[in-house]
Amino acid sequence: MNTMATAGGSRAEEAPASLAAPKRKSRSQTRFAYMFLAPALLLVLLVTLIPVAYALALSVLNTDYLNVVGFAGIEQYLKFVTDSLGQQNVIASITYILVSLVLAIPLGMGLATLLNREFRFRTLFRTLLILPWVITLVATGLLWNWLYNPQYGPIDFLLGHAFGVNIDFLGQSTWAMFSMVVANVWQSYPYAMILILAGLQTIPADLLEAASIDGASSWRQFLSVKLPLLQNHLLVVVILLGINYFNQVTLPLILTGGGPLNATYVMSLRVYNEAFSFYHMGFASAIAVVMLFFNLVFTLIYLRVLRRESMY
Amino acid sequence: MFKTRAQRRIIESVAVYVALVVAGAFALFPILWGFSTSLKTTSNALAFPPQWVPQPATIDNYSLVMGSGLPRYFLNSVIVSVLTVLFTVAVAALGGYAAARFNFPGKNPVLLGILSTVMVPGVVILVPLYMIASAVGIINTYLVLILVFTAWQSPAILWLMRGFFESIPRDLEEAAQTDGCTPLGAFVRVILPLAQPGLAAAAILVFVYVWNEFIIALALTTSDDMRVLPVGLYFYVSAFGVQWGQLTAAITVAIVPVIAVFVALQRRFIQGLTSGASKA
Repeated sequence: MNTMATAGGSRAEEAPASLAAPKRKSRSQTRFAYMFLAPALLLVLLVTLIPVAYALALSVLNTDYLNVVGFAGIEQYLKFVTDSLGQQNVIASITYILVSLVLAIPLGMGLATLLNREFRFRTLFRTLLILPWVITLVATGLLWNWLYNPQYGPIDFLLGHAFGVNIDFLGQSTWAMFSMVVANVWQSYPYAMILILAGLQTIPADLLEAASIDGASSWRQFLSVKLPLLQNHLLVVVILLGINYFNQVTLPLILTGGGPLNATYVMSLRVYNEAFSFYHMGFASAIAVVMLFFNLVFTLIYLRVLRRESMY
Repeated sequence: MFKTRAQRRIIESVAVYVALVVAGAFALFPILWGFSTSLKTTSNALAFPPQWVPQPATIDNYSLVMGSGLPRYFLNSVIVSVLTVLFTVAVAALGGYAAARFNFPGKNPVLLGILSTVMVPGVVILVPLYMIASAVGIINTYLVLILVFTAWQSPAILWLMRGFFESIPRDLEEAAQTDGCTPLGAFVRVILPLAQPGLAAAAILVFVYVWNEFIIALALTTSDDMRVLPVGLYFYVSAFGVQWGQLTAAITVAIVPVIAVFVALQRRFIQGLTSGASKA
């Protein structure tokens, strides 16, 4: 990940050694460089930059299905921030992100710490534990829907057996958000685990040996050596996963559709519904632009942290 | 209580295994429960208390979904993901090589411009993509899916490839160029063969993301015969009411290829995930 930090790194050390024909060489280099970069440039221009500009434009326009019918100014932004559903969307998104992170990061951290030890079947366990990350969110949503089934599902069977309770996990507004978070954490903790494991492996072994000779227990080593060294690394994982949760449409769409009573109606799902259920393209774009703004803010924080991290 | 070091160590390693087995069960249970359901008869799928192991086991659900749209969705997924992998790796390898090796005016702004698009999420450009694709007349085609997925993955993969190319010693292609190779010739004949591990890491990352992507494919396809697997699965729910046996059979068919690819190439997958600015 450190590669990104050096994005704008200078290349002063590569100044041409011979002064004989630097000009001709650099001109042909320029031509080849742009030839090599042309496909990537063209793709991001057509498929990302122009659509972003289009979204910005649509967000200040009134639309009727796919047609522009007038100028709206900031009306649609105001509508989103002032209507009570908009506020519910924001609260649902924040809750979804924070609760997911609070569960996924410690789980990923704990499992990464275990996988960082030497033991038999280590590769086998690592494979099994990463597996949910390669399962499509559609399948994740459908499988958890089936697990949560209040009539035939195994979770309610076990709960009924143990505590004599029956919970409609996705149908009650108090449980729906938490149930959605659990499914989300199931699918995404491996990402945190892999990245943290990579971080743990960069900690010099002699540091831990020194701590061990000084009589520090595993737990003590974790708190006093590993955690401080991993601080920035963890922050990067938190931001990457947080952005991922924020932009997700799939799981809310499949598990709850935003319900019950809008308890799980996150911003990303609102964008999707306004656009493709109600064909409010302008309004959907205004919400999308708000989301883009937050993506920008978190990406900038991410780049800052990366720059700091690459120094230690 | 546990006085000796040896005792402590045994307790500790037992605790580690217990924790890993519990976590492994959590990771596997939803998948196994789905697989178990897919092998049950219609009435046993709804048995309560639940049947953990299907008795009798039947493959009826698989025959039924194979007679539905599923083979077509599977074919669409294969076409879209394989072509996207090829195009993305080609585009990103070329760009990554230029970024790693060449100095040219405008280098930093151009590279940052490409990389900055990594932060634009699918949900933000969904509406414009839908409108532009409709206007241009390429909505509901392989072309639009491959184009959008390639553009979506290329910037992050370009960065990944740049890292790999930078780790290859520079004298190799300088020697080739002295021997009369063009930069393109040196790239294809000398560098690409050496960058194979990097290309493999890039390919599996792209494959997993594209095979699993749902929301863009949902928005940009409009007819049943153009659906990829995740979109097809989503519409199963409404098409069948919910027939859990058939649905879980379809899910199994959809996730087995990606699990197989992951298990076979996991070292490269992990390498790719941890070494580049991957787009989650």
